[in-house]
Amino acid sequence: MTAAWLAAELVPAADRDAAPGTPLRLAASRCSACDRCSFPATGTCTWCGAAGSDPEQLSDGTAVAATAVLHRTPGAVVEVPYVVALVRFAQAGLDVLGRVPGAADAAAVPPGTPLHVVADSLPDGRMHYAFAAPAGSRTSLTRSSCHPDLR
Amino acid sequence: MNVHIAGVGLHPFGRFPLAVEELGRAAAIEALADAAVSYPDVDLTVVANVGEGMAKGQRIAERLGATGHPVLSVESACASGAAALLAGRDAIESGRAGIVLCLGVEKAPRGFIAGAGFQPWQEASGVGVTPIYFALQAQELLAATGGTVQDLAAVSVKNHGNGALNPNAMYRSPVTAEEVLRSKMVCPPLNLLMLCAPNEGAAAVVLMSAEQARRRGVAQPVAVRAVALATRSPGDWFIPAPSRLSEVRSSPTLTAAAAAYQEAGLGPGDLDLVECQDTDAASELIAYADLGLCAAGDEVKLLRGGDTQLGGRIPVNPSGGLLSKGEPLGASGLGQVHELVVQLRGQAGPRQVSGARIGLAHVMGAGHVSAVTILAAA
Repeated sequence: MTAAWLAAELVPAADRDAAPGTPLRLAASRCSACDRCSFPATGTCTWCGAAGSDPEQLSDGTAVAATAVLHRTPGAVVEVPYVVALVRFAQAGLDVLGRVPGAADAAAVPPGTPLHVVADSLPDGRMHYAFAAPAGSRTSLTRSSCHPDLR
Repeated sequence: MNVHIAGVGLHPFGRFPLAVEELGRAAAIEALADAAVSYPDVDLTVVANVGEGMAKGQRIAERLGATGHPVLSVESACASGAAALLAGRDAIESGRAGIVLCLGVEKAPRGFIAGAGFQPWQEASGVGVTPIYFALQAQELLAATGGTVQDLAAVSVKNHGNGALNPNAMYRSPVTAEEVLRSKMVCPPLNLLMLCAPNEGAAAVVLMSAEQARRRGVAQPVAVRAVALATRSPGDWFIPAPSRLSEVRSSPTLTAAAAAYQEAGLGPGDLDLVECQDTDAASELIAYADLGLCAAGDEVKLLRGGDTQLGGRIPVNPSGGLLSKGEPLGASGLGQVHELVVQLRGQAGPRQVSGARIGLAHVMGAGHVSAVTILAAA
């Protein structure tokens, strides 16, 4: 049986059996008129408003910037503190916001860090997408690397 | 442009044991008295508010008297006050109304702003958090300008210094850079004292045609030279969007500023002072370039040169900004207009920008909404 997802529409149906920590794709869409991508996928292009699009998947990207949330916020089921990164998916031309559960702090995710999309199990048992260092990459997200400002 | 501001009023920003209607009434009564207008003479009331429920504008305006005239409620997140001014200005220009009262009022709960337009999945998964957006913007700004957290602290020090001169501000004590950097970390690189606090307050403006202002003998009227509102273009990224285009970088503030300068027939070089949306210290720096006060990349240089301090070439947030006043969302935009009017009349006391003739106000909020207002001494 497929696990309960926080927002199943963000993930292609074929990927909804992914185990926590394993790779996953995000369901974006590419506009048939202007060729730009939208995430979440949409029937009406976010940018030009045209109807009609093809599915586009996001899987491997690099960090553009990262920060951390240190205090509880309304509606959140995740535990603080946690790191959030804006991740660039070059082929789709999109930057997407998501949590990086394995990162020690924001400084452990400097710009350019390779990150891929993985399945993540939330504290309430539901599944959601998150970002993680790809297996075999030399990136260590457990150690702060640069900017003491970002700790 | 022939719409004048004939009067302004303000309820201080902070925390008060008063209902939202009472906060609004205090600001409205002050503005009406300042304009020498009685409420039954008002043809239209426009109420800017974010957090109240159904019929909020009517409920708030009713405290001023059941005159039967139209009341319009507007909500555009942090730009609500400018949206109210736009509606009021247009009502007078079109001839639909002779006198308009624009009233912004808010009683916002403490802490993180909930309900900023995020989807439930964004909030549950921890990415529907407004300071994340400010923090990521701040990091991109620092990377692009060579700025440091010391520069972010300097914005906070400047605005708290100005706020210490403003009896209507919530925080009226100067702070040091060390105190800013030692304050609680919220979302790196932003500390608590680099972020504004949502709070309570009200601001009101009475509008009428220039001709009517002359006829009524309004002392020191201020002309509304431009009000321009913009929303998302493809290059923009702000709360609550979970993604953005990688390549294009723009801002609804660039769009709104271009429209406002064109409408006013003025440019950034004509301005004597600016009140801008300093939701956080980096947002003020970003606004420097978006409003044309400097080239993109020179934001930190402009700050370090002292140009934006009181007494500098183009003082920014002489009122103390949202960092020291706090941000009552629906009232903050008209609060900026109140500050500009007081400055253009030469009544700002110890924080007076000397010889101020032309001022700009900028608000930006959730939903990629930005507004730029330009006022001039008439």
